[in-house]
Amino acid sequence: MSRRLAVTGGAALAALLSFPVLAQQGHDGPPPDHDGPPPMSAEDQALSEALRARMGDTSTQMQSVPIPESAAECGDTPGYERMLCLIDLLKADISGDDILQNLQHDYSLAEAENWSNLPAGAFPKRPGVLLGELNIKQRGLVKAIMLEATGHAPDEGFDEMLQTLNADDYINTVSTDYKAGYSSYNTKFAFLGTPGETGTWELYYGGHHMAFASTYTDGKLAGATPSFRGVEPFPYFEMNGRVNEPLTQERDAFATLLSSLSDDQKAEATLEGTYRDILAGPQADDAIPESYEGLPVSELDDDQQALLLTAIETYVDDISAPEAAAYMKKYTSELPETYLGFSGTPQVSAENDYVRIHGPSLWIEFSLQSNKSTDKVGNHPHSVWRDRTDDYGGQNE
Amino acid sequence: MTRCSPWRAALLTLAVMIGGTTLGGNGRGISGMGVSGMGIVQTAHAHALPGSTLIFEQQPKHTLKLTLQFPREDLLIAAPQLAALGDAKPDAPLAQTLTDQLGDYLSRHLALSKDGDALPLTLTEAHLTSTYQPQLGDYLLVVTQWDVKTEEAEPDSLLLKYDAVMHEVRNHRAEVEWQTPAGDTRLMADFGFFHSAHGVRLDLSKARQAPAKQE
Repeated sequence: MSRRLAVTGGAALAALLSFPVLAQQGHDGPPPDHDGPPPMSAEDQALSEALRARMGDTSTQMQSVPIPESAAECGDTPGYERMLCLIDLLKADISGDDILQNLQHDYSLAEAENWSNLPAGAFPKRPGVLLGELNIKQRGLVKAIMLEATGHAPDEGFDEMLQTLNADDYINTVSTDYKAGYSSYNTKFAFLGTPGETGTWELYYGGHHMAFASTYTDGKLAGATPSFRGVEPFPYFEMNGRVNEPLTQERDAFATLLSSLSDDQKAEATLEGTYRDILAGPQADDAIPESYEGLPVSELDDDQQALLLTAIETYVDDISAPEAAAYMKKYTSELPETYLGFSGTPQVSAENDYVRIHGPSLWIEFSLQSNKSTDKVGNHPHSVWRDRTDDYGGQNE
Repeated sequence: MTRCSPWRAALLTLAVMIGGTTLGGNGRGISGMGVSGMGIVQTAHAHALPGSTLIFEQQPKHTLKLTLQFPREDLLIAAPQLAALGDAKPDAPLAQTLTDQLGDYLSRHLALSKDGDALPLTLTEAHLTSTYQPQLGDYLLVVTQWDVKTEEAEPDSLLLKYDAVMHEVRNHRAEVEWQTPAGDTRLMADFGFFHSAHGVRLDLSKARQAPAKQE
């Protein structure tokens, strides 16, 4: 069977198997009798007004913000040099010292470790300037910088992050948790260390259910992880004029892979214990075990290994194509020492379903847990890509 | 004042029904739900619930007081034999039988030693308490208190072996703190399942002198 046939057939099977759950969850949107959140308390009203005062104009979404014409000064050759040029343009455009100080930090591992899956209001330690504190032109430059660092495929890379931000705008329409700060403009953007041709710095972009952390040393990508993604609602929702499904292809890739396993393979891949969330989430950098558990990838046939690589690509393709290719080459070479594990259903559609890929370098987790922010029936994913050899660019201080 | 509007209550009921169907389908037992002895099913919480918190305090007479707490929902997944806890009310003493069962379970997952010698632990109190966090909603904590007898009046270090809840709920972690007489807490250790097997060294002398934990 060809790889294309295997992928197509597997995807169809996974879709068929997961259909009942999709039907249960239905099309995401406010409940029919939903009449909006109740009136805010006086305290929440004051907090909300203070936040809005800091934000300025928050009406422009990152997906529609234009890249300013001044970006043309940086040429049209993609890559690190253009990114540095765009960063200089952004810094030059910012007049407020407070904003510049929030944007540009010294590098430290401790600061880099301040990422989270939580919304802005629940994890104030995130470094950086809030997108809402930048004007439209500056947000356009942020977008241009991020486009240099990320992949451009639909539902991956920057498009995946746009959709994750759209989810916060969606939650903001249904949540009564005003203090959480659910909104796309509550995403933080920062440089940890000074971007340049030499030295180490991290491009930090993080908010609710999103942590992007590409670390550069001497002009080259030294590490693209930890890379966290989550989304609620799931598997899809409408917001900001589009259908959003930022992590559905990750889930479908895993479901297709697991559905291809024989009963014996499934038994060997089944992990002990219950996973209600990922292990190596925020502030859990020590969580990856030294020992391996699950099904050795060496026991998968060629078609199954191709499905595994397809699943890995849904993470690695979040970064720019040349850098993604280098990671895929490394992970492909490490397949003989890589393990696949799962807990729960192979459809990856029920609460506490969990999938893990664990290699000498690679660590990917995908976990489904019940909804919270939307008060809607169903589950939502938390997922992380880590590289055990170059998380945080291999920095240790 | 309740936090649940009628449509939310209806959705939660629906969630229980759908969740029950899913559980029956995958055959992996309780998954994200507390099932009480009376057949009352409680809804699961989103996002991972907090892990275990172990707080040590120095007491007179060669004694350390240990307060151990963790979410009831995760405990019931890890120890379904304690399902009767699902019927217990918060802020009231647990029935003695239930306290004994809880003590038996925890004694298999909690141990302290000094220089290779096991230290005697005595469960002195157990109860449930209700709590709320914006990201998690309302949930119940199981709170237990223990006396730990030590050879020295103020031991400088201990070896902790602890894998309650996390032996099954693998994303569950434990945070160990020292509480000063003034009530400040100082973090001594933070670990997950895969680091629990060999024990965790607690540096009590450092904790007695360290600055207060930064929130």
